[in-house]
Amino acid sequence: MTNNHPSNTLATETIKPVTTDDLARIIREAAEQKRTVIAVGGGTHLFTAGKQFDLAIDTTGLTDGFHHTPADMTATVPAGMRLSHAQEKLSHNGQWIPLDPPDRGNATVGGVIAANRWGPRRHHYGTAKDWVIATTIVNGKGEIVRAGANVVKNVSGYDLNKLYIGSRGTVGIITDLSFKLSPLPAVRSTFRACYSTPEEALTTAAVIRSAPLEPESLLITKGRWTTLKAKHWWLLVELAGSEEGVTAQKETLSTTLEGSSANRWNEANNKDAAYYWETVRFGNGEASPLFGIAEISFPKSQAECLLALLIKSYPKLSLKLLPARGLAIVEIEEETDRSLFVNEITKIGGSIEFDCVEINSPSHRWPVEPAGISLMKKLKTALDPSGIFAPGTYVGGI
Amino acid sequence: MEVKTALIRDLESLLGKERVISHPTELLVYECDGLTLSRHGADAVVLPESTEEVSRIVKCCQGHQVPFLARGSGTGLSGGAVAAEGGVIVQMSRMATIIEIDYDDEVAVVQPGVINLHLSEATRPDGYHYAPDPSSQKACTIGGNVAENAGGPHTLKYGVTANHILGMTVVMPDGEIINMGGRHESILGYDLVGLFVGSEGTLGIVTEIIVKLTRNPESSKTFLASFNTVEAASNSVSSIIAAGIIPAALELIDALVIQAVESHLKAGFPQDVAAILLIEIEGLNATLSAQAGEIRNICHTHGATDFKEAKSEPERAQLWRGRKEAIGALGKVTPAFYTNDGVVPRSKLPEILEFDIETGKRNGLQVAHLCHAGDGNIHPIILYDHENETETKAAMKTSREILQRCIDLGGALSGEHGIGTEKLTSFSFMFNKTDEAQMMAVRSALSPSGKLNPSKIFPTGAKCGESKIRKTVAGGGWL
Repeated sequence: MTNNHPSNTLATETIKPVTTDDLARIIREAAEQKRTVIAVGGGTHLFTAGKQFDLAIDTTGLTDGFHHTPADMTATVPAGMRLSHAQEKLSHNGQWIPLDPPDRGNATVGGVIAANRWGPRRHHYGTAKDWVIATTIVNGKGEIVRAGANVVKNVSGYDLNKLYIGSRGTVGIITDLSFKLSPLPAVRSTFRACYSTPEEALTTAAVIRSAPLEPESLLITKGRWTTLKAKHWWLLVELAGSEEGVTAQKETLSTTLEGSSANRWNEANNKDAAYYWETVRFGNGEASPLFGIAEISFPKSQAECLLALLIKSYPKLSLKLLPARGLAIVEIEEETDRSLFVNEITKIGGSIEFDCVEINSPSHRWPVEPAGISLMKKLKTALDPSGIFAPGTYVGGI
Repeated sequence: MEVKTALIRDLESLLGKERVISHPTELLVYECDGLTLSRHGADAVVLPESTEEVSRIVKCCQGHQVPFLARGSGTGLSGGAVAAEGGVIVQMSRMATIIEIDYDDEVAVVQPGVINLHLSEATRPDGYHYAPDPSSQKACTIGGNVAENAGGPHTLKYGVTANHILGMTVVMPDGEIINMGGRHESILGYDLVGLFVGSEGTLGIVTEIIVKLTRNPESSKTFLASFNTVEAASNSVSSIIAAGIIPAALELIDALVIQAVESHLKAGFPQDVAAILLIEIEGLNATLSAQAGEIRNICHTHGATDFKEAKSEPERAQLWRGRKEAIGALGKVTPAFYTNDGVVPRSKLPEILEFDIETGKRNGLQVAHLCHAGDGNIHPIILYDHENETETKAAMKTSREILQRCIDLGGALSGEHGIGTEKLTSFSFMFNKTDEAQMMAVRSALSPSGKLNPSKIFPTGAKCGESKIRKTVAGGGWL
């Protein structure tokens, strides 16, 4: 039993195992008794579909077994370790897991991977799919299963790592993960440019992508993810790398922004840069409480079309958009007609996930089921034959 | 015989006689892939031209309860594209169209029979390429690359096939046609694309693939570093990685391979050295000089006797030709060779290379190296005489010992070739019964009849005994 952990209100019983063996035993018993189980890390991105479970597993006790091999640029990290803590430890040797989800320090590594979380630097680094190389999980029979190895290239058996990433605890509970790592950049520098229209910001983003520049982040923001009074669309660019690389890129970027239609642009000092990124991740502190968001992915070519559609329907739009990845996060208000929203996104070939206060069913959270849902249901049954892991909480009611 | 005749009759009625190969002589070419050691006869080879035809073929095979599998160019090196239990090979060579190239979405939509290099050739003039570049890229298909999660020299920087596939159309083992993923990065639900890539054609037959296109780098530099010992070369590799430098490619080639290459290809490799590193860095002009300097310093610290840069594009192309065609050159200096695809954590590179050579010696054989060293994918090549049964057995023994050592060092059985039929007996080095059962549960869920590409990957239930081990021929293929 743990105190003050988000898992406490979700189930009739909460257990905090400290070893994988403990967890496996607990899950074996739960499977035998057909008790439903919800795994909870930091509870930062939990979706329970409003359900109560028989048993909550607080994974934050699974913190043994951290192992970093700087010479291999790989690390094994226990699932219950806070991502922030893992990053701090890895930084001692100048490396990091290049994932930067919004996180006040509570998110666990296992939770971040189970929910496939990401942040602005996804522009350059991609997602967990590009960095996880091995996993240990406990499956629905209470068995400890390993996949992958601490090598950066591997085609030995099925890559089950991919199946676990983003599976939200519905096929197994992750107990440790191995990552390919990235060197921490020696220098980072943030630029902000302000535009009157989203088209101008998108045009400049496209110019930047064609220029000899390799930004670590490139995103467009509006509304609550800028300053409260900002009327403009922000284009934020983060450069990273070696001293000489960043210096050369600064020059190119400055020329590009100067030649764009920006109302103004600047290279941010450290304080401003920290503020911009804090605002992008968490929204500005003065904005009204957030009702919800929609996470949208779409073919990159549709960015302009998407923005036009959204602005037409929602003139006070708050949004952050990664043009090079075809991703956007859009604010949803209580009065937003979500079905209209879904229709618009579907028109441009996009997919959508709502994360709003009042949503408590998978069909509302993921209104359009992905192709292949029938296969996903078969996989769920195969790996969790008793159906104990967070049943009815994921897309398609998995 | 009755069953077989009825099967072929049904296949012919689906596709016409000209697209069903069933004459024993014509079937001979499909008995093996790049792994020539073991051969398995198919009952028929069919040549579909559409997803719907593949679906009908699959339903026909299921109706007759015969095994079936897809095959691309047959360049694989693990015996993955052979009919291990007989049955029907679905040959994808007539589904070889680049359906669409879309630079706005930065994707291409291709049929599985498209040759890997053709896609990069089609897009490079427009500033893009398809990043996975297995050495067989002149011949291998993207469908085959998807099945084996193919790598290549430049995957060190850009990632393997799995990192470049966004969506697929798949004919499932019951004939159902399923689309997964799409033209964008969304993962809604489980990552089916991620699961299917590298599943060695055991979960479904891919009939259309949406791949990411990668922008060409602003510039690149290619270097050749020479060393008097393999150890010095491999220590340099480990140090480059440890310094946080990620070259686009970092290849180690030892003296045996160098000699073969220079005898037959004249790539410009120095002949009086123990090993060379072929190093390529790509990226922004502004960053390459400093990176090059750092790499040069590391190589010299480890005793490099020479470090030179390719001065022109033809010179660079010649060096890469030497690397990518090295295995063919090696085939000219040894009666046969056996390739191993083990992987180790990169800091273990010096240790495993020494072990490979010692193990070869102990078993009376020479071991050459053509490593994707930056990835830890070591590719020892065991030279032997296929006419000599003792040597053939010694080659197999050497390879197994090396794989066991890779696992002991925390590595993996295969970096880019897959398990196929070849490594069935080594599977347990890396995975215990529970790990295997988890994977087999996935397979059973998606392929309950087990008729799709059986006796691959998983030792449990595999009918290895039925393989026709014939006198081997000089091995071909690419690494």
